[in-house]
Amino acid sequence: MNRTLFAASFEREEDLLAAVAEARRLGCTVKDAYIPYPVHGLDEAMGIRPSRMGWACFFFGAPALAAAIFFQTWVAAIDWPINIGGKSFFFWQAFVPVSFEFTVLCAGLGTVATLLLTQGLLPLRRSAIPDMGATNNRFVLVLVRSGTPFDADEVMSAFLKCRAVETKEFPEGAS
Amino acid sequence: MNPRRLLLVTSVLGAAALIFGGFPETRKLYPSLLLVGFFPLSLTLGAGVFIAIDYLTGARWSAGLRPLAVAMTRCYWPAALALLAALVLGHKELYGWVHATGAHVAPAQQAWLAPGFMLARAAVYLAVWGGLLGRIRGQGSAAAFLVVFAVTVSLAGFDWFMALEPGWASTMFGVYIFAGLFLATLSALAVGTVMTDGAGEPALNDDQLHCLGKLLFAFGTFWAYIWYCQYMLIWYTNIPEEITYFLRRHSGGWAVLSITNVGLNWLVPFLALLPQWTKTSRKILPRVGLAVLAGHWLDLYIMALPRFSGAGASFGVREGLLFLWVAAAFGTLALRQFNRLRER
Repeated sequence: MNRTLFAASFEREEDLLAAVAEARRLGCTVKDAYIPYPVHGLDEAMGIRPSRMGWACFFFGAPALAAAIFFQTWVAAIDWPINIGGKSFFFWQAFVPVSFEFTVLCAGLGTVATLLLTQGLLPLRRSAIPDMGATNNRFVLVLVRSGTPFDADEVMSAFLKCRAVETKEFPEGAS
Repeated sequence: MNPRRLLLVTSVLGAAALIFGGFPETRKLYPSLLLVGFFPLSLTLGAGVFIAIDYLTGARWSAGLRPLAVAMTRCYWPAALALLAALVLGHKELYGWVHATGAHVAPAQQAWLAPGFMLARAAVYLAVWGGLLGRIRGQGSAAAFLVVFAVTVSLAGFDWFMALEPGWASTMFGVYIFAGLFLATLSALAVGTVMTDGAGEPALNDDQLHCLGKLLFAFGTFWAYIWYCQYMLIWYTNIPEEITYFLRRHSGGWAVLSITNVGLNWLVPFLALLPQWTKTSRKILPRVGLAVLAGHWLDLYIMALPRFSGAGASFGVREGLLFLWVAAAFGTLALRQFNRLRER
């Protein structure tokens, strides 16, 4: 079922924060906010739980670290030990840079891939930003119209009180 | 017990214990004095760097830390005088190897480390820092301080600590000194801000404390990175005049101290401050700060003491007391300056 979305644009971040608080007070579902730069306290205001991206990073990084250490140990000390300047075969000091770089590479690429996949940011997909002003100087709040009881007039007047400069209604998937 | 009284009692008891229980053995006297001067000096200089970075970046989150940082910079002169006393009194014992008969020292190095020139340089560094610290009041003076400081702190590190080790040289040493200094300063700020919070609104809100925790986390890792860079290149090339520095510090009792050093300066802040909630915790963050401050003392101890400690390493009750006394005395002075600033 296609839901109907309701977007309101603001010119100042304080107005957006006030509108988010107002919308939640009225029992609306906040779908998303499109903003030109990170706004302090918006996550808390929208009631978004802390991101689990850190765990994704950890689960890509930890096996990479283990694999890098194992591979270097196997090469240098087990499969083909070579005496280099009398140093021990298991010369962990020299493993550090490679292990570090490999861990960062895997964790970084894995985290970016996780972000793109979970957020649906795939190539050729059309942008879902309802007001392109959000890429410039506007703060856009998107609410879900159906599902929860939603009194459009009440929400509208609340937004106007928060100095909304533009509001519109549109079916999900279009913009 | 309020923090002021706690610090005062610790510093008085520490001083009494040192006098009656005995200062570290005589041969350790001058390098220990060097630490007594440089440990608090590094905190006052780090506070200056913190203020300068604030001005240059136009940071607002750290406004609540400004009085504390300014109070720390105002403890500069006692620390500078203690350091100068250590250099003047102990010059022969500390750096006398340069002029010993039979020592193979390059003429240029011999000239650079000549007592008169060395002490004159030290006086210039200390006078310039002291002059600039109190005058950081805008972007221009902040930039000037940082540029002058970056050069002079490296040279001071070479002069005062690297030159303790006969014939040893490391190009990383200047950065290494700075990394330890700034990490310890952030720890002192974390300890100080929680300590000086009264019953009212705290100086830093949770978001701002989170920022301080992130800086502490980042600079712990920066310190480890610099430590490793210095160690790894010397280990890899394995040149006799370079590797002896680490051979001594990585065997016997010194190895235990060296591992503890990396643990306190990097592993503790890294592991303890990984999650967000510990960075904003007013219980955990200052405790991590205290561990790092002890680590900073140990770091300097490992740099300065090995040549004066005979065969084995020892970090006993007396060395611990000396650290407690210096840290508490610095805390007392800084707290007094802080309260004076607040009353105005």
